[in-house]
Formats: sequence, C-alpha cells, structure tokens
Amino acid sequence: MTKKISVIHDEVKNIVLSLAAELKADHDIDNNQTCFDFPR
Amino acid sequence: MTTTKRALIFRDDYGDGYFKSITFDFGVGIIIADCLLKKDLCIEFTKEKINPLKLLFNLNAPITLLGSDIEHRLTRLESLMFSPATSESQTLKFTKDKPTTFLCIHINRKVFEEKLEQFIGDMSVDLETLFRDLNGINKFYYKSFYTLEISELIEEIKSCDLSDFMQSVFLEGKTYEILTLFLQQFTEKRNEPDDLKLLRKSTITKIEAAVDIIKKELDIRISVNALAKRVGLNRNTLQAGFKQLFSTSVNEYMRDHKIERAKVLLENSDLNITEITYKIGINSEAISQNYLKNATD
Repeated sequence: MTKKISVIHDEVKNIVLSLAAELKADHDIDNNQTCFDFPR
Repeated sequence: MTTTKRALIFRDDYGDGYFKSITFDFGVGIIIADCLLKKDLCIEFTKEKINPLKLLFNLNAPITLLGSDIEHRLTRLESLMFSPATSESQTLKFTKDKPTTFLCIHINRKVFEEKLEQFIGDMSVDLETLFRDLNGINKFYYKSFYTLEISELIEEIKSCDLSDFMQSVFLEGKTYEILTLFLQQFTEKRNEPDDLKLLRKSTITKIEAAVDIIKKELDIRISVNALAKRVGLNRNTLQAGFKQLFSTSVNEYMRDHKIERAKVLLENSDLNITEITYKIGINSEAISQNYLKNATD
C-alpha cells in the first residue's frame, strides 16, 4: 500500500515538518540537536 | 548566518533511515535522505505562492516525479532541475524495499535575488532566465547525469561529522560547490546539445570500477587502453564517460589524482621526492618535477 502525503514546499524545513506530522508517531522530529547527527 | 535543521527518522513501521533538512541564508536549503522504506511513499507538493527551484540528485533506487503532464524517472547518478508552473501539482514517488538516497537543493528565487543582484548583468542568458523568474511562473525541467565530482561532494555532506557552527558552514559550502558545478554543467550542455548522450547503468558501473582502479593503483602507470580493457569498455566509451561524469579526460583525471596524492604525501609523510614520485607511479624525472610543481602550487 502506498503512503500518500501532501506537504507545503515553500521551505525545506516545512517539507520535513509536514512529513513528520503526517507520519505522526512514527518519527522523531528535532530542531538542531540530537536527530541531526551526521553521520547517522 | 541563520540555519535551521530538521530531521525525520523513520522507525519500524515505515522503514529505516532519515529525511533531514537544513536551511541556509538567501532562501537556499537542502533535504538529504538516506532510507529503506517499507511502504511506497508519494509526496505531493501542495500549490503555494512560493515555487522554489529544486535540484534533485538521485544516488540510489529510481525516483519518479509526476506532474500534470510530465513523468520523469531518475535513475542513479541522474539529476533533475525543476520548477513546475505554480498552478501545477507535483508528486515524488519513492519505492519500498529499495534504498532511497537523494539530495535536493531548494532555492527560493525571490530571496536568492538579493545574493544575485550584483551579478545579474554578467550572468549567462540561461542562468538569468532561470533565476529571474522570481515567482517560478515558468515551467522548467532539466534532466541530466551529474558528475561523479558532485556525487563525491554529496557523500561528503552525508558523512560530515562536524557539529554546530562548523557543520553549518561546511554544509553550506558544499551545497554551493554542488550548485556551482551543476550550473556550470547546465550552461555548458545548453550550448552543446549534441553532447547529451545517455550513459547506460552498466557503463556507469564500469566507469566507477575504472575510478576505483585509478585511486587504488596510483603507483602503477596504466594506459587508457589498458584501463578500458580491465573494466570491459572500449577506449572511446571510457573517455566519453569520463567527459560526461567528470568533465575531464581519463588522463587528466589520473593526473589530478596523482597531484592530490603527491600533495598529501608531501605534507604528511617523511618520504623524499624520489619516493613520492614512485608512490604516484612517475619514474621520469622531467614528468615528476612537473607533477610536484603542480602539487606545491
């Protein structure tokens, strides 16, 4: 089954935020810190 | 410098991996993704007043972009620079159980204009047309293979282990480096339409094998013919592939790597000049002096 998500694409951060909101509990969303760890 | 970072980490239900974004100044931002999804995923971009210019670089399994009257399927090492008409919806399709890896650079041209303003008079017509469309009114698609040099820069972004200020500066620098290389390629190819020859996936794999040989066997002198034979390509295909993927010839690529290696050895080892020239596969004094001159310039 395909998961379809609509996102606002004015800024890249909003794309990731929209994706995160649509996927609800199945994600971590973080600003600037722990999740943004290059390399993974 | 203002940067905002966001990360979405996929967990069990949706797969494994991440989508990460970082915004820089002047309306520029990137999304970098590396994941294995358990479900097919379609991302539809809603219609907004702002219609950013996007440069999508695919590093792995095919990604499809669907518009109202277009369909672009990007395979590995293919890129798409696009900006659909403002009234047009667009959907990116990612396939489950296949590795999804891409970099997407977004440019809000209205904000980016401030950075470009002083250069407008000197820009090529192609670039000016592209960047002066501040609201993204005109539909635009440009699909091409990107160079392995860009591929290496994307890998540097993915493997960056810096943090905070240093990370932001590094990522912004690499993003602009990729943008510059890509736009150079774009303007050159626009002027040479006959050069748009597609490379087959098997050819790309063989060219990558040739690159691997060049890097691992720098101490051995190898001719273009011998290299082509080892990877199972003819000389002309190998040369054309290097031209397309690296914007350089095989010999120039070898020379550049030998110079880079010589630089590293000069700076970081106790080897003398003769030993270094052997390490980079040069045993002619005249040639080695030329290489070392380049390495120290």
